[in-house]
Amino acid sequence: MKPTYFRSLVVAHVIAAALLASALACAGAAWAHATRIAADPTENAVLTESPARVNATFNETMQAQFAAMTVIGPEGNTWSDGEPDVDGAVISVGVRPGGPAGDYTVNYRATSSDGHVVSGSWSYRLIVPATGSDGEPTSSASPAATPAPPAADATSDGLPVWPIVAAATATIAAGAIWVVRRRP
Amino acid sequence: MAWALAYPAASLAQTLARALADGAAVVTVGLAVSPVLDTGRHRVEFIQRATAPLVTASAVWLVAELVRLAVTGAAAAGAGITGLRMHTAVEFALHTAPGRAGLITVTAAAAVCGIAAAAPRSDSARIVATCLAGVGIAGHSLTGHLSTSPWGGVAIAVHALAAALWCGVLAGLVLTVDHRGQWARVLPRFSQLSLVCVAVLLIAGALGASAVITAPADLYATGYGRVLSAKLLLTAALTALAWRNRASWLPAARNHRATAVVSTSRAYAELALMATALAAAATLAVTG
Repeated sequence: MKPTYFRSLVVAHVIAAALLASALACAGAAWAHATRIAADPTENAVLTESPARVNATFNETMQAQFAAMTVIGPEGNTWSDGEPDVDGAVISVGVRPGGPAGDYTVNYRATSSDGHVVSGSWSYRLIVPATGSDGEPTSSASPAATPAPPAADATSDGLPVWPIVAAATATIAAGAIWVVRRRP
Repeated sequence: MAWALAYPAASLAQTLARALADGAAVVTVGLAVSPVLDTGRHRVEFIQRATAPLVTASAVWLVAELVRLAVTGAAAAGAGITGLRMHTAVEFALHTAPGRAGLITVTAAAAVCGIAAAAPRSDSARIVATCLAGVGIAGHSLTGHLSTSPWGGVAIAVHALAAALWCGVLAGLVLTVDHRGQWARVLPRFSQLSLVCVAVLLIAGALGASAVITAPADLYATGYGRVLSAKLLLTAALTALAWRNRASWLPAARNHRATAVVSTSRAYAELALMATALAAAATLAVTG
């Protein structure tokens, strides 16, 4: 063993340890993962009037594709209106007027700019009922269910992907075996 | 194990797909590079012997990348893997950052596989294949936590490339070297290469981790921190083992005193630890 190698390895370890230690020492508040940092209406807010829109603010820019947000009313019906709108770090969706009094749950799921899927929910309470339509029955019985993606047709029409992946796997495997066998 | 540490912040399917893709990519890089460690006419013979494993490894890599793209696409769309439809997958692959990064790695894997199968003996083709495999490895880091921070992204890409060279070349040697004389020729060179790789990987890894971990408590209080701590311990153990091998196995192999069986089993022991560290790395990348 050559002593210079040993020295350079020790130096590398010391530098790495020093970098990590200094990073830990200058601790900031930032956290690399996307999380929801604000909501409107706020979590557990008590409202006398149904909001026209609900929105959630994240700590980083969210991808406009594949964002989902639904508002589920006290009777389990959907009160959100249309597709969610993604503007930078804010995702919002319209709420149809005329909901009954009770607890509303906003469910969301979105992909952050680094590719992680963030999902969650929060609730607010409406104490004055508005008269109007009864909302659409949700496809799911549980109000806390993860919302369906905006491309809800993701599960309804078009070719499924898994047989294509399986076929590609079989083709690649067959090709690789052929090449390896052919070689002396 | 690594997934359990990160629970509930990591999904099992994503972790498995990522670990398989990372592992196969690392072996591909190693098999493409390892003939460089041998000399003269031995190198030509080495290349011939490495071709079949290289084709196999790159084919596994390609399949793993396809599965990974489908699994991440399904997670983004909120559908199960069997529920993902073609047009959703195409939209994910073309219009989202993780989807595009996945497309890059799929393309790189396919190109390496094609080159390995079609022109295994051409030097220029091998260099292109090595570079493409490197692009694939670096492409993985485009989808990690640090993709949004420029310095962190570069640090993690360098970290991943150094780790891939270190682990991949050793894996490449285990798969192709079965002769005492050949171990004697390649091991001293591998030893030099691995030393540089370990130094680069430690420094770049520390830089990258410092961008994510901001308080000492994060190291055990979060899924990411727990996996990172496991990786730190594994790296320490791995460096100790590598150092011991360097002190005893290297001189023995160089002087033809170690039989090929001894050399292979030593390399396997080191590889087993490396595989665990790589699995932890894959979990780290999908922990959110």
